[in-house]
Amino acid sequence: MSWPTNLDLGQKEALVRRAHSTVKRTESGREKEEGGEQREGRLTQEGKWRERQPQPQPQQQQLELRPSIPSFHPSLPSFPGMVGLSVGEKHFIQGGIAQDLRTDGRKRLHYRPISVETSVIPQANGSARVRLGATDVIVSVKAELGKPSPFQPSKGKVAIFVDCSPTAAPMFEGRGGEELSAELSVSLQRCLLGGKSGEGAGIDLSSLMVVEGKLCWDLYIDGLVVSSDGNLLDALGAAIKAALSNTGIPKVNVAFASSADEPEVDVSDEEFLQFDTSRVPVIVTLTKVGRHYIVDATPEEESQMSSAISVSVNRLGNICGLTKRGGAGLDPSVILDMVSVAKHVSQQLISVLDSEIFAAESAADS
Amino acid sequence: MEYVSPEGLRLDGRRPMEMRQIRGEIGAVAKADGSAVFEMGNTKVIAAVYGPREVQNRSQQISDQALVRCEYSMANFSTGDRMRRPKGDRRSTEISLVIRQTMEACIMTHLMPRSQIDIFVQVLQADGGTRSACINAATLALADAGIPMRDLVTSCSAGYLNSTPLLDLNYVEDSAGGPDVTVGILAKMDKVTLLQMDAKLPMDIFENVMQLATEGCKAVAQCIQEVLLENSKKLEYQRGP
Amino acid sequence: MRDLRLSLNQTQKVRLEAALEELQELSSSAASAIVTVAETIPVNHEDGVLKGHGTTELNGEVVATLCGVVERVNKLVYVRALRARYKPEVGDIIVGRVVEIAPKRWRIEINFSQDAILMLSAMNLPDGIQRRRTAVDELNMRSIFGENDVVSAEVRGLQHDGSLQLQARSQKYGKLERGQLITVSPYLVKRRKQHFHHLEQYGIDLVLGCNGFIWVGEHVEAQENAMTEDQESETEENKKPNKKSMTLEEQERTYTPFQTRQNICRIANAVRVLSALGFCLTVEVIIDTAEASASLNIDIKDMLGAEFYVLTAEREVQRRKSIKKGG
Repeated sequence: MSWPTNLDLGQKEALVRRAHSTVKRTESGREKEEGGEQREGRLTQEGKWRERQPQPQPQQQQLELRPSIPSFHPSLPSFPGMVGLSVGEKHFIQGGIAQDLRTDGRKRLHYRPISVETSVIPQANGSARVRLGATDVIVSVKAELGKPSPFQPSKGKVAIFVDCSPTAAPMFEGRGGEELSAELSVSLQRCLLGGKSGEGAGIDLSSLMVVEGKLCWDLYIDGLVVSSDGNLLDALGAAIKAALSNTGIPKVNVAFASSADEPEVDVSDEEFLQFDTSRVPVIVTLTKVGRHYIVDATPEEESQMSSAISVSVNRLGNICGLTKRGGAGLDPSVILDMVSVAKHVSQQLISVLDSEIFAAESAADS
Repeated sequence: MEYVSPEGLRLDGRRPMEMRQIRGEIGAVAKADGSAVFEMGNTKVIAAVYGPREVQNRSQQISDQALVRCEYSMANFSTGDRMRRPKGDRRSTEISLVIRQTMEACIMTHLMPRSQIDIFVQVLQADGGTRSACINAATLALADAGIPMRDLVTSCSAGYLNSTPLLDLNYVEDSAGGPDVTVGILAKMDKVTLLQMDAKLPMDIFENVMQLATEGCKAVAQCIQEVLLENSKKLEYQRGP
Repeated sequence: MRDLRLSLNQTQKVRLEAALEELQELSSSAASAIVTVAETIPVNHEDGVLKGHGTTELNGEVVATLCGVVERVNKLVYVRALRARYKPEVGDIIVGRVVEIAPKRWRIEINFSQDAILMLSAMNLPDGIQRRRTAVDELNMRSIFGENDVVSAEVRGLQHDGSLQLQARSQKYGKLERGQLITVSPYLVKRRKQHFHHLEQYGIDLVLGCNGFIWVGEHVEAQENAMTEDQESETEENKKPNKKSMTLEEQERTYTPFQTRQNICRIANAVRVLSALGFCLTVEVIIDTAEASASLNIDIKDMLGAEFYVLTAEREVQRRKSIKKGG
């Protein structure tokens, strides 16, 4: 099934009607496969079932057991679009990392200055724009009512999609950015959402429930990379956290009709519930160059990496997800060391991010 | 549905001949040669220009001119109703082609032979008039990149609802089913480079509507000139003697 | 301020705006005529004016095609663009990166509308003898410059089809290693007599390419005639960065010494801050900024922070004021 592309007049009218009236959902059309993989989708007002496109790389998802066990990828492509480096420059970068003085003067475990702006997309439920050096990402969160999956009737659903805009690099035009977008989407899902059973998600899905088994909120998190200067995953993770703290889920009054199958809901336009983001994790990517690990790598440094580990850690210091990239093999003790370093760095990052988000929200309010 | 109230106010409180608030800003993407953000009301568009640089695909090289390429993409969250857009769908391709042809007419391509100019336009928020906002943003970005142009290309749309010509339609007015005329002009030379219309319109009213859109374009051109002048002045005095 | 997105607090914003205003006042007395695209340039038609770059004729009027400053030299009127790609002139010293090795030439990327060409015949051979390039030389081009190498060269001329020819015959040109390359906008680098600077007090080479590529690296002595023993030792040294043939310990021994590295990073950050502020880059200003940061005990990474940004702007105001008084 393909998504509607050209909106004809009738569909435009339908959208306009939806924007102006309260939403009354009728449920018709269920997922096609019973058992097996749940097809995510949403209902349009016409009652048609619009199916979500299948997740890329479904094989990887099956390998996942629990978020805490690292899943080893085959070597994924490192970030494309890097300028080539001469041998002398590479040597210089490696020397800098070894001597704890990188090319822009940072230490190995220092982040570039982060700036956060919230409410950049007015029509979304929540949005944020994060700048990390010259990396610029925008994330928007949209909430729609949907039906929970039969396996987790008391939890809502979250889907994460990332798009690399060609404004970031000329090579992202056309289908050039698809590989990177898919890689980022899957990594973010792994880090922030739980495994298949929905357990262990960094985002609390049970707060998205409206009526158990019948109605829940579907959160669609869309990321857009506007400008890229290395470390996209961390920037996207920070932006998702900021966008979620900016998200207001409309208050829903449920009126139980006589037939238990179709509760009528009244979505309020006025009152909003702030999403609880105290347990949302941040993602810290550690890049291993030579013998040392660095945080927040620039594209030149990323080209030198032998392997990288992205860990998502929440405020309590719990690990919510882990991804290893790069083809070089790592000793398990090295991995454990990197994970503990990531935990240590993440506490600092969380506090910096929280203060930035707070400043951004208060600036938006004033 | 009533789009123009008896007092003469539109749905968002504007008068029929009133444009939305326009704002242009230079320098959104650090890595691009030229970039700009352009807002027309709630429609927000980022344009980035890379070039002139060496042609990546040798077979497409033109020996006496620059090759101009353009891509238009909409973010998933840009419309009110979130929609997952596949890349390369027909609407995007058509708008990319339109923008490319419009900009190619005004860039002096013969000054940069065997090179390539890439224009990328990304829609962040769509509320009607995205085509126009994209062309305006592309003009700003090209000027920022220092690419020689014959003239500034600006664009604006106008429509005809409830027997009134309306300037700068937003999404609701656009989807009302009335005619939508998009005009792109070369501001100083006063020549039309882009003219598109859907739905039908009697000839005499069409002239009025097109005239209205042209006036809108001229207002946009003035705004763009001010932004560019301000920016150039700033760069010059910062650079110093 | 497009490269560094800094969050300035209130006092810093006020200070920065005050500094920028003072800069504006200092320069407005120079009365430069700024034009935007499609703006008419006031010209005295009786004099018979020559229309130069960045202008075109429309209905008998001279109209600008670029955003920039109008310059008049006798009868010539042209528009000097600000932010634009590099505009080459014969004799310019540039720094570029090799993108491709083609028969008998290297293609070098130099921030121009096309890649520049460095012919094998325009390059000194490693053994230094002046002779005709043979087929063996052509096969060994990679031993001189490989892909992605950073080289410095001089503009020889523009071909009729618009492409640029480079030459690197002198000893001071050639491969640049052991350092970092910074990209700035070409209009910030002024054409001076000297572009290769050896900063003795830091032990660093600073090459200001007219195309906006700036190289900051460890100092390397310009080789005189390379004799065979030198060549052998050179090939040994060239093996250094080759990872495959060296173990990690050997590599570590050949890293740049820490003190030099600190100086390199300090100068590089000074260049970054100055280019973010849009100030002209000359050796004096760069060294001045680096020394100021060292004397104020600002950590190297903090040089890219908000406080030093505002400080540099204020220092520049002082500097220009003193030049104006003196000059």
